[in-house]
Amino acid sequence: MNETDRDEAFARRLGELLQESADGLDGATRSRLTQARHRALAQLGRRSVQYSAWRSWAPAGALALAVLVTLGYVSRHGTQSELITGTAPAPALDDLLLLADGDVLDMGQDADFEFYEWAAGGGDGGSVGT
Amino acid sequence: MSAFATLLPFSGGCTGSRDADLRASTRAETVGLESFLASVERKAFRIAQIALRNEQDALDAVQDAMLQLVRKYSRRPPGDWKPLFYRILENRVRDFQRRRVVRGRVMSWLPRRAGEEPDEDPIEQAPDPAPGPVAALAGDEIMRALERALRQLPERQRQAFMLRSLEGMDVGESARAMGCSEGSVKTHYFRALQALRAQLGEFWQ
Repeated sequence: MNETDRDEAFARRLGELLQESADGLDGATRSRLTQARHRALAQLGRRSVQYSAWRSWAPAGALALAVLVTLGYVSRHGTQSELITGTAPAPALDDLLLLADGDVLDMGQDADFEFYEWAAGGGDGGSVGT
Repeated sequence: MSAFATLLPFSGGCTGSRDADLRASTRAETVGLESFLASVERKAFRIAQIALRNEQDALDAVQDAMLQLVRKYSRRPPGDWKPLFYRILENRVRDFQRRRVVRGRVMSWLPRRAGEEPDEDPIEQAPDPAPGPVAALAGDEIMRALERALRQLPERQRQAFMLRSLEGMDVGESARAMGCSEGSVKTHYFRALQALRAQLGEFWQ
């Protein structure tokens, strides 16, 4: 056996001794090592719960943001349309809400229908009340 | 799955399947890490215990290394775990040793109270009464002699020897664990072997 082989055999023997000492640890030490391992692995579970909670709220948050952006776009888009075409835009949200109001617009018993007819005619000078 | 998510027809199902994927992935990661940590914890404890000569410090060092590996490196490929773990462990051992040196210096300034035990173990300090190396020594005596010899090695030589002989790491893995070149690992290991043979080789002649 040459020097190198003797060194390798010697190192192997020492490694076996050390391995035996690791395998022969007393029960209390083995138990504490097991507890340490479980404490370390518990971190994985906590990280997963935090991430899962964030993911469950993300779609709701995205939806709320989308609604706000859409409303902002619709209200701005209506104003621009009026300027470009000169026509009355689709009723804005406020107007829709007003029209949807259950209360009937009270024109009054003495509503001046003749006036309104005249106004609808473009005010062509037809005498009112005549 | 949250109650709100179930009201959303376009997102409820997607969130549920993503959560299931996440849980499965975490479970697989946990199983892999648990298996790895279980395979190294006893050897890691012996490595730390021989370096620190204190069971509690060794347990603390191993626990710290486990926590840090899981916290920071659990997503790395499993092949990286062993060198990373032993790198972290060696750093923790070094921290404990430094702390002990500082504590020793501070304590040496304080007057010792009457009846207080000195820090050194007088049995450890006493000269070995054994008549000399004998071919067949009891296993315990050989182990004690081995531990003494390992503690006398320079840190890097001890590290290289323990990683290669006890943990069975090859030169490449040992180099990554020690943060040095493969050539350095070979040199440290060779010198450690020579020193150990000089102290213990007669036991196996």
